[in-house]
Amino acid sequence: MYDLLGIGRAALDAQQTRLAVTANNIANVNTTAFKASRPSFQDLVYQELAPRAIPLDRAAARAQAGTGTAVVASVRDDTPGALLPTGRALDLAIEGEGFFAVTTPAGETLYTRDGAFYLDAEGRLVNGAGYAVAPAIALGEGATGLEIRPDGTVTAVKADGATEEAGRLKLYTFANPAGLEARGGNLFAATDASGAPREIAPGEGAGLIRSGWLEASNTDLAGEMVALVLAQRAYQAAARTIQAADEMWAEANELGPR
Amino acid sequence: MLRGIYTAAAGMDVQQARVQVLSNNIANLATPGYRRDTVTFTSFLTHALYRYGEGRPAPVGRHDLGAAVGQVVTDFTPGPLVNTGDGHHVAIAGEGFFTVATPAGEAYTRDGTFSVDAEGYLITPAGNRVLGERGPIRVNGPFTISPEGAVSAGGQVVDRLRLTAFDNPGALEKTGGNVFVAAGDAGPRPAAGFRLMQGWLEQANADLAREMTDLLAATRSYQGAARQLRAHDQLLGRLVNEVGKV
Repeated sequence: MYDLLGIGRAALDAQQTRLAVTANNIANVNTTAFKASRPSFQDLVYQELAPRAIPLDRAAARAQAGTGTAVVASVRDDTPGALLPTGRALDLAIEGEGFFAVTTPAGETLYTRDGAFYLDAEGRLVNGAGYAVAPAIALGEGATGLEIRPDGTVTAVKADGATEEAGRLKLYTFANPAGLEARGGNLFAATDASGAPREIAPGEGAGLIRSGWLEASNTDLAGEMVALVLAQRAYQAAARTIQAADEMWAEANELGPR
Repeated sequence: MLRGIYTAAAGMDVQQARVQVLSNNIANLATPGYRRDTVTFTSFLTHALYRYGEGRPAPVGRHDLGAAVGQVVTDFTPGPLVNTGDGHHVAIAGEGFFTVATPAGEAYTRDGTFSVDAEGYLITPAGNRVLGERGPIRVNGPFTISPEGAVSAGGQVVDRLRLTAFDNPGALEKTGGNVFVAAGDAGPRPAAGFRLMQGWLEQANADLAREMTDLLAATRSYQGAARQLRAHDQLLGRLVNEVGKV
């Protein structure tokens, strides 16, 4: 009877994880460059019925019963989100593959597709959290404007109209972007599962940079709503199996000597 | 009389095994490519009854001493295909299984939730590499799969997915992790009648309405067997305590 309860419990846990993932996808429907995740389910090990005192036909070729389900992985869907126009020169969207890199104050390199960048007091290009874009790009003194071309070249415009190249943005690609570790704040860290970053200049193998645009979240709201309903109903069904096991156990307890 | 108690107990055990199998089907409603199990029952220790006393024994009929689990049979009916729009998902319309390399050897799955590992190989969610005709398939990034199974990456065909079909799928054994392993007489052969659909995923073939109905029937049968056991107990009690009392 314990195994019956165990199967129900495993299913409740798995559906709860699915609910959490779905809720997080929905919550981030407006997060720039957010990537929705999908849980992957698998069945658990199978047990032979024979050693468990269940009468078996001697000719039974196979008599194995399963023990439930589990979420093995929550896979991030790296499909790009739609590009939305913002008109701000420092809003950068990547059209195609790749990530921007930023350096944290602790010196760690993190990756993001959220290209809402700003200039700090020293004229350096930083992200919303103030982390410097890597490789570092700084506008020289006296710059009043800037222009970013699709190939990543950043040009500073001076007050007198003269232009000066300030640097070139680089993009980083991974063999398995879904293996990147989410660090919050739209940032990701490279892991063994993602593979090492490969530095690529925009337009030379990776995506192009679109100045004045931002990448929207790739959450499919209708799809997530359906997932929410499915998770809820599957949760209910699993709760029913627990109820059935409970009723059976109560019946068995009735049999004891009174 | 004691025999009746054991008959009823066997009935309870068998229904418990059935509920376990049904609960597992229900638990795996969201497992892609899951194949539902069903339990078959059989009678147990059939005895021939004879009447004695008139010179020679006369046959009366047969008598079963309860129920037993005959077999746990996996239903290989395909599950519904659902469009996910994710290029990492592949569904098989038709026969065959994806062949994957696990630490315990080759295994087979209908779950086409693939991703790419750090070395660029196509893997299942459990991290097992998907096999093509030339071994593990290395795609190094985005890939496309043709209906016939050709895997292309970076504009050229890398390999062809190895789909395996079985002459005797009944000999496939589930080992968890969404894979089957083939026992000796499964009869593996390259699959022929299939079409692959990228961006689609095959769902479990468990049908909630049927599993729930069976669950209801199984718990009620269990209750019935338990009541039967109690009736035998009461009869025994009467026999022991009241027969012979004046």
